[in-house]
Formats: sequence, C-alpha cells, structure tokens
Amino acid sequence: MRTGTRGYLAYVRTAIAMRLQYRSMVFASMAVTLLWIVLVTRVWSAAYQGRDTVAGLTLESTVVYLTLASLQAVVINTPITWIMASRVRSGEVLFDVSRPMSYPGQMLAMQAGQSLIQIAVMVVVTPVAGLLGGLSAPAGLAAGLLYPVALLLGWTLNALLTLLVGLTAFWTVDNLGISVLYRFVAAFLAGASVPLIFFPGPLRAIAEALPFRFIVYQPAAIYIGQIPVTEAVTGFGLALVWIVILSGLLALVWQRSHRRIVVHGG
Amino acid sequence: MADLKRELRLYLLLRGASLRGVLQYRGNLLMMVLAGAAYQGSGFAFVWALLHTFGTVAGWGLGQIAFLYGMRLLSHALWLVTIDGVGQADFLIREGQLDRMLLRPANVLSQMGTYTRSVLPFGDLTMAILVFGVALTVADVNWSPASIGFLVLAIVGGAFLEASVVVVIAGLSVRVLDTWAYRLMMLDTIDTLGSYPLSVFGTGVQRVLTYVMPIAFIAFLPAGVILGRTGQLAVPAWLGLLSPLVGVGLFVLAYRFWRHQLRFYQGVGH
Repeated sequence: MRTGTRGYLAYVRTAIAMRLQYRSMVFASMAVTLLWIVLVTRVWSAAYQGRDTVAGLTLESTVVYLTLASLQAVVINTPITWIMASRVRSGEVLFDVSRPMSYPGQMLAMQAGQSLIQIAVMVVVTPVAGLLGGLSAPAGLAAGLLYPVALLLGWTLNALLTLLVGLTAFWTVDNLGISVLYRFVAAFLAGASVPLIFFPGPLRAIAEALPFRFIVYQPAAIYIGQIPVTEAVTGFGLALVWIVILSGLLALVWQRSHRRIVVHGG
Repeated sequence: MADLKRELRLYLLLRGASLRGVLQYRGNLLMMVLAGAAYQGSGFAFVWALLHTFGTVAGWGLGQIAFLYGMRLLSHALWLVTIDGVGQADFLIREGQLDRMLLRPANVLSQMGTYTRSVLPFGDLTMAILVFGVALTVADVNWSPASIGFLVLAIVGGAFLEASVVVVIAGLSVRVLDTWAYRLMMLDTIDTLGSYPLSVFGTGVQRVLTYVMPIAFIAFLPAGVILGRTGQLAVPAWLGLLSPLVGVGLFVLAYRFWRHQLRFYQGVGH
C-alpha cells in the first residue's frame, strides 16, 4: 500500500516538473485568462446597462462569478490527453502498463500534478484578477466552507472525464480532435462564460442534466450565494454519484482499451 | 509578374499535396473539423446565451454581433486555410525542415505555409460560414455593390492582418527557436478581442486596440462601417474604411521582417 502511494506521488512530482519546463506556456495561459476576465466582465457590464438585477443576479455577483469561473475553468485545459496519445504513438505506453500500478491511476496522478501548478498560478494571480474583473468575500460562512469542497468534487469529475477522452487514443491513435472538442464543449456547458441561470430553457435543461456544471458553475454559484446550503449539499451527493458512475465507466473502458494496445513498430 | 504566377502555381501544387496527405487520416478528419468548429463556436455560444437574456450589448443586437463575429471568423479561416503552416515555423526550424525549404526554388514562406497536417482550419471555415450565414439573415444591412465590395476587401484585409502576426512570430522563431507560447498568446488575444464589439470598453482601451495593437481593424471597425454602427466609438468611424489597407500594409511589413530575420538563420545543428 505504502509503496503504491509513493509511486503515484512520484507521478505527481514528475507532472509538476514537466509543467515547470514549460514556464512560458504557464505564463501565456495566465495572461490569456486575465485578458478573458477583462473582456467577459466588460461585456456583461455593458449588457446589464444600468439594470440592477437580472434573473435574480446583481451585476456585482455576476462579475464575481465570472472572475472565479474563468480562473476555475483553467483546469479543464490540460495536456494530459495529449501526453496519453503521444505515449501510445511512440510506444512508451508499454512501460506505463507494465508498471505494477494502475494505468488510470498513473494518469490521474499526472493530472493532479499538472493541476497543482495551474492552481498555484491562479491563486497567485487572483488579486490581479480581482482588480481586472471583480472579487468579494464569499456570500457567507457556509458558502466559504462549501466552496473548497465543491471545487474538489469538480476537479475530480473533470479529471475522470479528461481521462475518458484521453483513452480514445487507444482506438484512434490521435485524440487531438476529441480533446479540443471536450475542452470547449465542457467549458461552455460548465458555465465558464455564462452562468447556467442565463441559459435559454432547453440548453439549461441539458446543462443541468450533465456533470460539467459541477466543474465551474456549482462552486462559483455557491461562492456568490446563488445556491442555498441544502441545495448545495444535495448537489454534492449528485456529484458523488457522477464520480462513481464515471469511475466505473473509466474502469470498463480501460479494461477494453488495455486489450487494444498496438505498439507501432516497437 | 511571371515570377508571381510561378510562385502561385507552386503554392497551389504544394497546398494540394499537403491536403491530400491530411485526407489520408479519415478517422480523425470529422473529429478535427468538429473540434475546429467547437473551438470557434463556443465563443459565439457565449454571445448567443448572453443576448438571449439581454437583447443588446453596447447597442449591438444579436444579428449585428453575429455579423461582426462571422466577419472575424471568415478572416481567421481565410489565413488558416491558405497558410496555416506558418504557425508551425518554430517546429519546422527545430526539425531541420527549413534547410530543405531553403534549397528548393520556391518562396520559403509559401513552402512553410503549405506545410500542414491539420484539418482544423476547415472546422473554422465551416463555423465561419455558418455564423456569417445566420448573421446575413438576421442583421439589417443596406446592401449595395459598394458595401459588398468593401465587405470582401475587409475580410481579406482582416486575414492579412492576422497573418502578419503569425509571420512576425515566424521571423522571431529564426532567433528564439521556441515560440509557441507567444504565438498561442497572440492568437488567443486576437480571438478574445477581435470578435466582440470593442465599444464595451472605455475610450482608452479602444484607442490602444486601434492605434497600438490594431485588433479593431480586423473586424470591429469595418463591420461598424457596413452596419452603420458608430455609437460609443472612441476613434473616428472613417478609420474602418482603411482596414483593408491596414491589413495589407502590416502584412508587407511583417513579410519584410521575416525576410530580414531569415538572413540570420544558422540552422539548429542537424
């Protein structure tokens, strides 16, 4: 058990080291996120046009939501799917699967390492994001305490979905198309640029039924006090159900992809 | 002139070859086109969901923003479909591909431009046609031969303007070797600021985006001219008429910069 944990921690450390090799990339993604916060909060302010409250949200809370949501959505954009595909193509995946550790577990640990750097950078730029967009304290003590829990559940869901997307590489060799597709569809349906309550009816129903909203909308909406405590806790239950379903699906898909490994000319 | 015709013929030949290469990966094809469309479509979905509730943003309605967004996407898709390989300049230099290109009797930038493995641009193009098509049915435009002519020139100008950024970064790749972070940052900045009405910003930002980083010329200013939307504009509206010239002018400057940098090419030790 202990050696197992140590192995996975080594993966986390490796992923951190890899991410730090691409420092200019980290810087670029930070700059683009800040720029997006400026744009999206200005566009929304222009849309409010002096109106105080729309659909039950004040402009001030909407701006806080958008600033937080843009920072949170950064974890959706991860190189893990690309790493998985390139290791399938080069044949290095053979080393991954012959280690006495679960392959999905290794990739999950790598994703954790990647995210740790992303999250650290985002925490560092949060004051700047607050100046460019707008931030305030959480809506209340309960909101403040529930927010990190919601973030953790959202991160786990995103990691599981990302790994499922990544595994398509075992069938199609390349997964760039589907990972780009995932990145943008997930970010939108998660509410990264539009809070779900502003979605037109049918689209809102779709977004509510899918797990993406737990990645961005749920935590940010809890923070600004848009979701009452009881509803938030029910939401956590639902997120946990999703985590169980997706873990099961991941295990099943992995079992099938494991048999499909073709090493190209290795 | 004969030179230009020859370069054009060679360009078409190389582009055709690279596209035939891309079409060999049929399984990935549909996915890539869908991905390209999702990439560009998600930004429009944002505007659509927003206007569903609010009706207008800074005086721009859904049809007008769709027109602006579609115009910018058409420009974007136009440069991608023609010379998207230039965006891989740093990779081509590191891999030693540039050495091979320098030895062939054809324009180096044109050879780089046609070197591609991606069909993502066709996803961009699909989305561009879709959004702009919808915009044409919704937006209220006073069409005349002059406005149609200007629209075409403005879209070409926008494509030249975006391409000039990539060509400058290709020039830098000769010296810096790894430029993808800068390229991504510049292209994301254009994606972010090029497609929305810049009148949501105050006077200062609008001036910066017109005179310092001329992103406003890609679509915002020319779309304003065609739609007759000049309210809340912090710069003279007639500047929009110059957008085709600004695009071509910047591209010429970028091309000269690239040619100049190429003289300092030392290879990467292959």
